[in-house]
Amino acid sequence: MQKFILVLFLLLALGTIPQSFSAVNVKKPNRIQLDSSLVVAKSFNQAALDKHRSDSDFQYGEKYQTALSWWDRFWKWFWNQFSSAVSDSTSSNLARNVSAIILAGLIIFLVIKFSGAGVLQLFTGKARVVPLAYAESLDNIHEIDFDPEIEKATQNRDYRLAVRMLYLKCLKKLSDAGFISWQIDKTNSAYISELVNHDRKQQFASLTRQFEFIWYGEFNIDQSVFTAIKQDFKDFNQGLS
Amino acid sequence: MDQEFTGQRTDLSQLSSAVEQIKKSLGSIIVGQTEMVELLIAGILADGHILIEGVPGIAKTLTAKLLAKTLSAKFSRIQFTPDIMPSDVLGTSIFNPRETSFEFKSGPIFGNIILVDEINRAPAKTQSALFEVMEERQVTMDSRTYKMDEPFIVLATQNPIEHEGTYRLPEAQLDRFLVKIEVKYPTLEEEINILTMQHSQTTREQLDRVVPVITGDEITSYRKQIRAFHVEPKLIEFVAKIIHESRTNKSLFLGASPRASIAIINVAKAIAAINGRDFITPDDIVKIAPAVLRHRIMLTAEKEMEGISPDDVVAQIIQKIEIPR
Repeated sequence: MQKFILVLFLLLALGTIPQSFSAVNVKKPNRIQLDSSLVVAKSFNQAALDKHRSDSDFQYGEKYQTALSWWDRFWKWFWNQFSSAVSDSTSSNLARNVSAIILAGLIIFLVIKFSGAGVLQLFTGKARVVPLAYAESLDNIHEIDFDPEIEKATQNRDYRLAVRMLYLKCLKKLSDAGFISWQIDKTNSAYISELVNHDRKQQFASLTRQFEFIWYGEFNIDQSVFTAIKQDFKDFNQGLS
Repeated sequence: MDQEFTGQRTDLSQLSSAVEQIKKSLGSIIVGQTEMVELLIAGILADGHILIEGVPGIAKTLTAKLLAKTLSAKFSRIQFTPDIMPSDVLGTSIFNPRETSFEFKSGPIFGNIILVDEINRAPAKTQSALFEVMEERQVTMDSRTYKMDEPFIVLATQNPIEHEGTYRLPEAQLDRFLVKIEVKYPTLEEEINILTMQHSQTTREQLDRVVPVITGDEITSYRKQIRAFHVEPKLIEFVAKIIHESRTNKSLFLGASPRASIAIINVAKAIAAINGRDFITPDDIVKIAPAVLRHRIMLTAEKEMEGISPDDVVAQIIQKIEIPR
């Protein structure tokens, strides 16, 4: 079998040799072909060129005036006024500098105003605390007539609501006296930390704890406990005036 | 001035004692970082996973190891590397020639307290392997489901995304972490205290002194107790408003999910328990909202470029909403 494969391989190899020789023999030298046809010079239509040259659509390199919008006219007028104010030979250097500073200040003010940011925010990067309108609050402590509400809740034996009203009244009194700054987003502990006087802070912290247990914790209280709590609030409020 | 009515409806004495012991154990080695310690305990009591982020060298891993050591439960640690595979975490089925069947070899995720160190160094493929186990507390492999033992807590640490060799975790995975605690550098006084404490003994020596103070069963029991805490309806509305606002806020590309609102209530309850109350207050919600939301919301590209942080946006959102009183 191996001999047969060897013989077959030799026969195939011998068969390729004459082909490679013939490939060398058929190669012919290159021959250059001469082009003897007549050359006709082309010319452009001068009239068509002139027409295109006069067309404004093809005036790429030249500026052409268009009507200015009112916004562009305003700024043109503004910068003319500004440059004349700064370079006026009749005005003194001081006047020119002052007018430039006022103008720059005005521009900065307008930018800050329209961006809605505070001046401090530009330097600190902190968000400005926007005083919120009392009308946004669900319970506007400055509009509630507390005493009748407390009386009504007490008569209905709704002592939980009565304590809530007592606490809101206390916050109003603290706000009116300037001890705290009332904001709808402030928590009770924020108000406690705003109080500077140590005794007042302790008393208010205690009242806050009572309010939180009764209001958020829904602890039930009876009339005797409510009477004692009411007295605590009364004593605290009297100390504010 | 305090009236008698504030006596406890729920007996929290055991829980308070356990919390104090954990705080004492952590405080004996970790200097300062009181907020982090409180959030860690709250995360465990609220039945959630905790992500701790901070620059290298500020005791993230030490804190996690220490916390795990204070709890008497099965602890395992997985160091996430860029070439870690899901089977390295979950486990894999191996052919047993004697039995001529496949046998499941559980991975290190099968434990009670799992410390996943440098979690954001593994690619998304491996992160995705944690989705099921973190949310459903189970692993499904070869059509079989393996339940995790209670308690199951994943404590993960990571470097900030800007650091070399870190990947951003998928949003779906981030949402599975109850809180993300950002650990800051210590103050000058704290740094002095660290040096005073650390120069004479190694961290291993310090860790060896820590003993477990709470068992896994106790944690499960406290969790059940906390779940029954009272929540005033107006406070539920307050939380819902915060979450809803996060979805319409122009500074945010992605708002918080309903899972986030549930998380706020649960963590607030745990914080209330730590402070000896069986009800939550707006203060609790305002306090924990950044830790619950900061990893669940995504800023718009413009706000990111302006250098605004998620905490800034959360603060702005809360500022818009009236505190229920």
